[in-house]
Amino acid sequence: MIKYTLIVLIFAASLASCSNKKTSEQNDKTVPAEDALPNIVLNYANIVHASYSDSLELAKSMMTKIQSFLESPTEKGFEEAKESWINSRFPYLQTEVYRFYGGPIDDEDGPEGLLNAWPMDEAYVDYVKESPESGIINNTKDYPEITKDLLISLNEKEGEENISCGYHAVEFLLWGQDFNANGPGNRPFTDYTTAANADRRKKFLMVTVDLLIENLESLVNDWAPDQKNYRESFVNSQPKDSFQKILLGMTLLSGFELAGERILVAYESKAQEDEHSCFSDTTHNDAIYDIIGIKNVWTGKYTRADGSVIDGPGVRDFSSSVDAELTEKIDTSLSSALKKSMEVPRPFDQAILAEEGSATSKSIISLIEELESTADSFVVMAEKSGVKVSREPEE
Amino acid sequence: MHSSLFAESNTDLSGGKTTVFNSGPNAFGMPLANISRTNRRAHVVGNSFFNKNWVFSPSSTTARDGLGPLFHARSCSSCHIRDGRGAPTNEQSTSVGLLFRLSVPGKPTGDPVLGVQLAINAAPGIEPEGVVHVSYEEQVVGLDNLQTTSLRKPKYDLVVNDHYGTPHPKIKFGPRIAQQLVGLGLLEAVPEKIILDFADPNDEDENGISGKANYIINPETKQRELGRFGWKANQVNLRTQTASAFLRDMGITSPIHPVEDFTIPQKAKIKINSTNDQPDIDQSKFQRVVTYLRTLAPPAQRNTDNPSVKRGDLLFNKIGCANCHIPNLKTGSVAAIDELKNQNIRPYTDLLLHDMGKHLADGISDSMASGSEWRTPPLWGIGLTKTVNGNSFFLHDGRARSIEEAILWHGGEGSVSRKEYSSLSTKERQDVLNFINSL
Repeated sequence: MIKYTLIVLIFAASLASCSNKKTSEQNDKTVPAEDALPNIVLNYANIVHASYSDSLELAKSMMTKIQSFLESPTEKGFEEAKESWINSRFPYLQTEVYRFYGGPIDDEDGPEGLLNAWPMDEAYVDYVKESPESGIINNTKDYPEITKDLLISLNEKEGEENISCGYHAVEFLLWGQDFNANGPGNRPFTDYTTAANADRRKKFLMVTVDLLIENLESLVNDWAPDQKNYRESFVNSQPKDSFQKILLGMTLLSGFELAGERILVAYESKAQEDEHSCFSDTTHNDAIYDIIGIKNVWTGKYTRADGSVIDGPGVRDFSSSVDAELTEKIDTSLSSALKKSMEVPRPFDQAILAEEGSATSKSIISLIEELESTADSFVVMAEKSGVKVSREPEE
Repeated sequence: MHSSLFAESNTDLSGGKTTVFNSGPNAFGMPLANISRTNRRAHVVGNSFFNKNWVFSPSSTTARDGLGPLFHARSCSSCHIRDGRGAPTNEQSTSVGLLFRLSVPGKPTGDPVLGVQLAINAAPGIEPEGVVHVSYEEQVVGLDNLQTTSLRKPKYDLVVNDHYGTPHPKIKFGPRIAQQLVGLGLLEAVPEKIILDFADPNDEDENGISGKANYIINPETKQRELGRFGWKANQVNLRTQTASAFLRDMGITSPIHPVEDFTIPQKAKIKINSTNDQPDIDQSKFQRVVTYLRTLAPPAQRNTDNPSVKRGDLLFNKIGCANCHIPNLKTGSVAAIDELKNQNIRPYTDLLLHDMGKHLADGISDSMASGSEWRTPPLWGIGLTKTVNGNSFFLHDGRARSIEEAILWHGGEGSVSRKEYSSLSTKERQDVLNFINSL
């Protein structure tokens, strides 16, 4: 975790310095370089494939840790499993910018709901404070056997908070409900040894991690090069159509999803249940790495989990040929949003309780504003590029 | 392309500057095109409280607890699917998109045992009030003296759970389907005088169309005010509409209705273990939901240059549809939010009550609305119903399976237009339908 934070800071600083240089070089261009679009689209596809591959790799590492914990449960093994969950989120969060245009992640049968659905009603899955026998895990009568098909069929059944699969179900099974003001949930590891239905809980955890990996594998395949798949049609479509999709993902993640659904709603409701990663208290990472994901697409540069770098033409290159001033504005607001996302006091579930007018409250509002401005700028940029992008999901 | 220079000629701008250009599945869920940043934030937060399920209290989650104990649905969005219409109940399954109002002649508080609305669901350990089964019967009707088509007439059976006692022998019950929500803020901002100018309760101009205003007590001001919303125009504004829906549809108390809507026998049987006396939804969140509804934009009209749509528009006026489905209204210079002020809008409603004949009547009167009178529903967005909701069922109970069926059900004051429609040629009828589907 520490290592990743460091990478971010260096990355942010380097972006700020190199972006200025690029702008001045391209100021002379007056005609948008539309022939640059195919390479921007291609580099985007490379980044998408690499980041889903990284997500898959780190999910597999998580599975190994969880497996060895479940084989011989110890406090130490439990902590390592949790750490592996936190690590697995870093690349995945950077893929969220590929949502919102009906691509593989969220087309009609896309796995988004099986991977990252939230907020979840904990009592749907396992015991909660007031209800020691609640949840699928403790319901041996209706669900005698916990299987993959069962969890798929129960996910989002009769209510969008009835979440049985994905990162946040795993998160809940590792941390449990969070009643600590200063830290995350504190599920005892004995939930996997001596507690009631420990074996069913083990099975649930393994099955949902298995399913997570299966879904990530399908995304990697959808974006793999040299195959008859989504990527092929994406890179061979009219470049403007694919470009519009890329921008839609950036705009909606920044404004609609991150500023709105994830931060503003939680801030206004003052409720932990509206916090994205509420069990592990890692909601700050959700904002930080979502923004990094947007920057990856903007700059065309993605730092992989192993430290290697994919660096090619990004949306920014096209944008600067359309409007250099606007491009600089986006550079600034993205860097500023990233900085602000790191400055919001942690944990997020306590920050949202801050009184109006306090420094903490101001830092949250300021992050929301920066993300809204970023989204607004993307809309203007899209318009100037000749494509239409909306601030709300079209579907 | 849609600059204000052409606003006068651009009939596709159904909501003036608030109009959105989206004809996809989320076409009814878009905020006003001209929304301010502040109101957009309120819209976003209100949307969250509109969409997500409420849970029973006490619960480990606190922002959305207080569901029930007697209720119809768990969230606003489970009936107003994607801010659109509910689906009717059919022989196979009960849809929460359709609820039942209850009444007893001469008793404004509804049935002494069950109240004004049937609760088909209840919290664990609490008995629901009952359930309604539906069956449909096909009946053949004639068109242009040559063709025929078939309409389905619903028959409802109310099965009451006698846990709370036996309902009044004269109990009547009537279905109400969840309506689409686009443009509500604009309709709220139409000055009362404009609506009343269309009213002609005694049909003094002898055109067969009355147009009657409903007046009901506003629970906030305690005054009798003009009704605008609901199938019977029985809600004066979006605050009272929203508070009433929270209370009766979900059992959620609010600043306007701070106590559960129980009858005397229910009060005796249901113990509320409330830990505080605050309403389930507080003033600030409640207002966000109201702002959400106020800021849902009407979608632009589509295919306005299509010759068939143009012909349909003329026919729509010629055969008298536009006498009640008034095309043009204008919002006033006073509105809850600035974005809604002074907009030329095309909602296709007069917001007034009309007698629709005995086939649509269910005998449930509501303040000044008789058992056969219904408010003219707005038509903007109607052509997108299928795209948004995956089905297209119309009228107050969803009996009409298409727009044509809905037209053919028009009786009472709508009879003349229905007959004129029926005697149009096949091509002309298609023109009318194409026009309505362009809205």
